[in-house]
Amino acid sequence: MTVEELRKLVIKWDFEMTGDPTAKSEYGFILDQLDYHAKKEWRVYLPAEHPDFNPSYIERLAAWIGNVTIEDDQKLLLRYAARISFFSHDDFAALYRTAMDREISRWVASQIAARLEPHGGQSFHDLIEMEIHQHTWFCPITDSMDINEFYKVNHLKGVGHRPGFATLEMFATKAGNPNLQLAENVRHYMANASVNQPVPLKRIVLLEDIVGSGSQCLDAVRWAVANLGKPVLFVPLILCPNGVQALRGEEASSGGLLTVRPVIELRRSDLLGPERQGELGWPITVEMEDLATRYGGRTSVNMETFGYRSTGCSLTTFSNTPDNTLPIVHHKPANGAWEPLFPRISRD
Amino acid sequence: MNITINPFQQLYLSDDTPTENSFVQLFSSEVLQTAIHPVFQGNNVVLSGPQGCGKTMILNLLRPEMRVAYWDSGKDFPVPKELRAFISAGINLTRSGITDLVQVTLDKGDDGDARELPLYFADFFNYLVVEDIIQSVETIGNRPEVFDSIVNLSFATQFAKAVAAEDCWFGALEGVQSMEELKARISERVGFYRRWVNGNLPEREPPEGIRRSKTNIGEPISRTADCLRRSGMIAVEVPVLIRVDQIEEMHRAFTDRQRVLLLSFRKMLNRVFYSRDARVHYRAGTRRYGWDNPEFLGVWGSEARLEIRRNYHPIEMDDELFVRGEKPNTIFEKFAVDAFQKRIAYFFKAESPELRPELAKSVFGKSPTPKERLEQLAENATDAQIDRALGLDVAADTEGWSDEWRELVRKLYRTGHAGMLDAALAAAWGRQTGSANSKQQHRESPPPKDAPWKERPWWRKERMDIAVLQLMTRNQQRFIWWGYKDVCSLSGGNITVFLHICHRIWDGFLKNESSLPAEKRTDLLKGSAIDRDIQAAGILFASNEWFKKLPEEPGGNARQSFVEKLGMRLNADMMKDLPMSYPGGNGISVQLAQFKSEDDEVPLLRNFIQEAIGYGALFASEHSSKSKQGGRRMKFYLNPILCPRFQLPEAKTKEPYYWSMDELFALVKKAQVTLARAQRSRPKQPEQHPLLPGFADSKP
Repeated sequence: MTVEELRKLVIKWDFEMTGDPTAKSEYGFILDQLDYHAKKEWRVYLPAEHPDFNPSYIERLAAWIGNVTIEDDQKLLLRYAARISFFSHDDFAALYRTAMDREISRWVASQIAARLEPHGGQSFHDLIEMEIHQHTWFCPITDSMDINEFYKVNHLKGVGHRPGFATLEMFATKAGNPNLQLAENVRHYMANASVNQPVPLKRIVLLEDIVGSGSQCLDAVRWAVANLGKPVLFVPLILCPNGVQALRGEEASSGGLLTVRPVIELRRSDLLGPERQGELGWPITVEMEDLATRYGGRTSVNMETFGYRSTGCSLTTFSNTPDNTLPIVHHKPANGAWEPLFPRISRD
Repeated sequence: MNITINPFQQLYLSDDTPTENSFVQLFSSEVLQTAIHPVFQGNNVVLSGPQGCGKTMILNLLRPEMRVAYWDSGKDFPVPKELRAFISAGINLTRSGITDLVQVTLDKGDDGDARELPLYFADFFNYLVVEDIIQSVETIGNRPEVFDSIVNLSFATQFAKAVAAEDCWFGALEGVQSMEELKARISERVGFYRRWVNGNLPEREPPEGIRRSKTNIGEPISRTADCLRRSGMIAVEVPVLIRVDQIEEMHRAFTDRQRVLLLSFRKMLNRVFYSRDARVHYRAGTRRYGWDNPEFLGVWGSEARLEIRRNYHPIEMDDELFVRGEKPNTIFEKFAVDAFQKRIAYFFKAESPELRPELAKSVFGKSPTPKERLEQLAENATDAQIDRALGLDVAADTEGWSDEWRELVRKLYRTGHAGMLDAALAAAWGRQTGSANSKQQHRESPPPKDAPWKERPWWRKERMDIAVLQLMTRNQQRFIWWGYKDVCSLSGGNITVFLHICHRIWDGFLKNESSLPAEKRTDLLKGSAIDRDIQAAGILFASNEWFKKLPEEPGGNARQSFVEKLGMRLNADMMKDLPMSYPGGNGISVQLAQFKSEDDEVPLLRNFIQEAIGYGALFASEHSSKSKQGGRRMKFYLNPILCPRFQLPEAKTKEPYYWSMDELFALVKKAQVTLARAQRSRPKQPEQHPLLPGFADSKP
């Protein structure tokens, strides 16, 4: 479907008399809202910059809605499009700052039992800042988390190496024979991290952009807690409900070494599919679940209808769409039977 | 044609005109009808009208900077030559910050603030206006070629000394010997007030020098005008006109304290109108609700009230210029066409220096006839579909139709879109009895050989809109609008609504164009029209936006709720009116005497309705009852721009529904509107001071 066809269709829908005697221009308002975002925050979606895809959100929207021919399904997809949460580059910068100002600062303060009264002549704020900048190591779980940007936005400096802990864990435990030396090397680095000043890293903050079920990050977190002997704060910037339980369990069994503090925690009512666990969702939740089920086979027979581990997210970021999000949003099958709205580039 | 520019993106030019030059390019002089001329002459004038009708743009013509801009751009100043010799100054109550005085306190309790803050308001007002008079006079004096030398700046020093010597300042200007010193002293006082309202003073109360030299509202302004004449700076006959814009802002209060204080400020301001001082004349720009209410017309320091025509000359722009009624409004149409043309010229002058005349008419094209409105409907319909379209399947109605009648109307329906109208009107006629005394419906007899529903032109014409509405709705389609006349009609005589509709239609047009290859695009500048579906969608969108805007104003949530209930009720009633007995059922009417009654809660209801009118949600006018005994009535309609959302024809063809006050109360209750006196209550009045003691009477 072309954009011109989509606009004509929207006009036609708004001219139809539904059960409501009031003509509310419902679809016109939705398209107007999407038009607005398409020109602003949603203008940059990295995977769509590739020649295989269309960088124009509106054109992708038209093609996506054109995947289905039943008008009620087309209307539903348009309404669903307005429900998909898009986290832009600026949103992530805000998440980095919030994580630092809120989750991380409070944890560091609690770690050092900082108090508001002056401590050895230093103010409370200066003490926290010193601990953050000189004694805390910020690393990602995977390369989805742009750790370099996190450092820049928060003006962090001093620690030149910020390895992905999922990679470290993989090399330590899954690449051939178990490698205990790797953990020893990391502990040594932490004790002598800085070139300029021989101050040790006393604690670790692990960050990840989006955590679904937690299965991808738990191994890395466990490895860090078990092998480095330092307190660990794990900060998922966005955490899905099905990961909450797993992470809370890990936290509880860590003997106080692990703390988990998400910045944004999604609600079950925002999910589609089994992970919603019957919570009252949006007005279109049940219809969308039905649509996803009916068209799931078109996207790929090998994928779960509601995304990885049936998480059922409806979110995307400027850099990629997580596999926890419904495949009808992001997946383009090899046979071209489905045009995605936010095409995803898989890691593997 | 450039498809990135929407020339209607900015609706309120007067509030946010970056330069006077834009004003010169965009202002339409069509609005300067004779009815507006008093604005440029003597006497106090109150210019009222709903949001966006053009009040501020007219008052802006009083500013000398505007006249200079016209001169410098080579365009003729639109005010008639014989009315151009005046000096003008003024303030905008919002932008000047004067109403921010409600934020300060003298730390003497609410009574103390209520007693004294209005006096500081008066003083602040005087200094602001005098500051602007001086600035205006200098602007005019420095450009003698523009203003026909009506100001002689060589007398500036005499003027300054004369002003400073006046006792109305209580010594605040003592020692001033030059214009520069006068300006500095005035500016210093204004600066003090600005710092005070921004909380930048260490002390709560002003310093003693200011406390002891508060001026009486209006008197320093009049004396300044007097000094202009006595010193020779201006001729004796040159009027001095003082603009006070956005008076309705004095009634936007969020707390009781603010309400009390703002009402006091308003009453203080009313004194300048009440005084009928021949030395200066005041112009107020206000939305109607900001002036009309009797409780706002009190005068500080007395029991007097402003009297229309005695203390001020009212110009209600709706009534004087943009009358909404059964007849086309030619002044507004000319205004709209001109405003449209000027916007296009301004934004597209580079690519099209010579524009086609009356572009609005070609861009929007012709509005549809009733038959043309039905063209979306499929012509091949089954018997069941036809019965549904004509309401023959309605349970309470279906038994009354003979086979002959059904055959007749179905046959008519199938002859095409014109036939659909005939069928609907035939069915309506069939359900009618022909007179109030008869109980036998026409359909109880065999169908007539002639076609009364075609042969009575007025009967037919009055019912066209309701017929289209019923046909479209029963065919699961919306009543839609497009074309130049529809756009004007839905604008309800308000230029901002007109421009809003234009904005939305143009926006839809641009979005559609951007998805087309260049060779398929439409060049509106060359006479092409915007696709009718795009127009219709834009109009519907604008209607819904206007509805969503209602809560923006104070009390707007209640008004929106009421409008929603009224709109839905009127639509339901029109749909149920199968005999089409009330083709004018897009409005309601109540007895005037009952509406104006002081019994029980009627005053509260009346206030609520009048506020709805003042804020532009409803339109109202008096009319005579259709029966001789009925007396005078008051009829109410939704603002036409709201009609698309509620699927109501906006034209007023016949009598509206006659309601009792009980029905109106019931609707208000259904809308969950709390009728309260809060906005209107007479506040607890502190002891008011009479004229400041020791103040000399005005000198001739």
